[in-house]
Amino acid sequence: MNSSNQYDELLVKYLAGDLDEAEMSTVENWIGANPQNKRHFDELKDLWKLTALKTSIEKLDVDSEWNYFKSSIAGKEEDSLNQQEKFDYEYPEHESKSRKPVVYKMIIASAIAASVLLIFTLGWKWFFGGKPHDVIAKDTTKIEEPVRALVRHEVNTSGKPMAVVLQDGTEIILWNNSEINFQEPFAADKRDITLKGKAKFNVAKDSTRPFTVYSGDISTTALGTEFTVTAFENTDRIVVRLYEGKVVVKPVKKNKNLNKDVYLDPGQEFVYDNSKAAEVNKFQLTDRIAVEDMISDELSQDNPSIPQNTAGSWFMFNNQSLDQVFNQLAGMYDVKIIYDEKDVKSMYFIGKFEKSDSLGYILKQISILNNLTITRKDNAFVIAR
Amino acid sequence: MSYESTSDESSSHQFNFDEAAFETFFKQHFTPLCLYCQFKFGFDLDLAKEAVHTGFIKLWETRHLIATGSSPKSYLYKIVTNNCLDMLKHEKVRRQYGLFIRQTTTETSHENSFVSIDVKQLQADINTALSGLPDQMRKIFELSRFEGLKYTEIANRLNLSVKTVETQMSRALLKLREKLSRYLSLFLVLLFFSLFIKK
Repeated sequence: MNSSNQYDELLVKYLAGDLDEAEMSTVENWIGANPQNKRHFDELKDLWKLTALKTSIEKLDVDSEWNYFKSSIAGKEEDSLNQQEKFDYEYPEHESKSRKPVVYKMIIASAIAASVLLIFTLGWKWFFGGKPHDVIAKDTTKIEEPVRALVRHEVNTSGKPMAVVLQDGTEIILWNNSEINFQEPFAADKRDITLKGKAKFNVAKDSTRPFTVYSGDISTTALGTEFTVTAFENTDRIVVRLYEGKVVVKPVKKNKNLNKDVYLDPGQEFVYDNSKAAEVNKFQLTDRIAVEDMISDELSQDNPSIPQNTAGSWFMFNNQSLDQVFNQLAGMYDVKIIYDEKDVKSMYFIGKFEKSDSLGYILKQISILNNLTITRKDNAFVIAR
Repeated sequence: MSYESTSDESSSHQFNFDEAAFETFFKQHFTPLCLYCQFKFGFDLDLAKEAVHTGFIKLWETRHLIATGSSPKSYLYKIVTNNCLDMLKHEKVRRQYGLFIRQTTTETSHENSFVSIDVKQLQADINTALSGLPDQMRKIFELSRFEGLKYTEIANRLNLSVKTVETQMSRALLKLREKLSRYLSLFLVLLFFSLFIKK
């Protein structure tokens, strides 16, 4: 504990917010260096936070807060009552019958860093634990309530790639119909992330923490490199392509198709196939190919068809922004949802619905929780503040 | 039957929130919830109030959805937690509170164990601990913690060197640790626990 004494002044100054970026990094490195340091820091941090509580207690006047609350709900009561009536009248359960399967189109985002192309595509089968050709949202695994701040879960169903930046600086482009799960912040000794679908990783260099992507049967570990992994559901085939740096591909569990670790050099491609032994090939690696072309070349081989059957399943939004939620719902129910981005800016949603729920019902719930209004216009829903 | 705030968690009362019952519920939990937001997410009081108010509104609006026998406290708790997470995602908040977010604790214990704390007791204990500090040390600490002054500003105001401020600040926090140790880590869990269990 003695060694922490010299750091205490720095730690307290850190808590007071009085350090510059460089000093903050030093402190953060120290904190992350070992669990004792972290414990010591956490203790100081808790204390720091605790002391502020007394001012809050002194300042809070619960009676006036209650009055404020009463006036807040007074207006809302009327509004939501009107909305409810309107809803029930306007949306008979017609959506559930006319729901059509949706094919998500892949739209390539315009700004893609060169030489960074990591595509993980895992079968939806793995995502949902069912057999191939299974329904898209059939849930056979229990998923926990996503209330912890610890596990971060990004899902993209917006129809086009979505950028995600991690705390360590890693940049991820998450393709449509894809999701990633990881602990944030990463553990002190490693960076693990599970991917279902397709994503491009630009891994921030951190030689103290290997970056590993778990995708189905294999894991791909990189040390500050750029690579792609493609794994599609229907074919049970996973391809890892290395553009720059070094990666090692390992089986999650030793199996007959892959029973050892495989190291790749740039320009090498590793193919894992459920039906035969894994192999390593060379692929064309040239700077002249524009990244977009590379991607569309990769993508053209992709054909993520969405299974038609969606009965008996549920879906869940995990802290997604409302515009993402609406986009996904619009795609799933094949209905237009019109909203002004400004109105739903910085609104998020965590919730779970049955697929048999009507879209009107779902939107009603979301709107209540976010103080929005919903109206029906021809074949579209209009959402506003 | 309206909600009795003296009931314990396990009883399966019909939570029929008429306004009077809700008012009692509100006044009982508003402060502890604000403290929770501040403690767990590093929010200032205004942000915490916003998260808690929004939470109570949502609770009010979805009160019919609360299943009999479930606890509106834990439901409200979850709503408020989600609100805080939402707010953290907001750019401005993130920049301001980046400090706390960079070092997210893995103590998820706060979440489910944020129960009944005796708010008055906590206030008294913190005040006692602070007044137990040597005068200048306390002044320095309060200027930093409660008025948000930078070390250099404190040094200027009190005519001291920044180094002195640094030393005094860390000694202050360590002294406070001694006095408030029972509120830390494990105890903090339990004490916060009593918040929900008691009254």
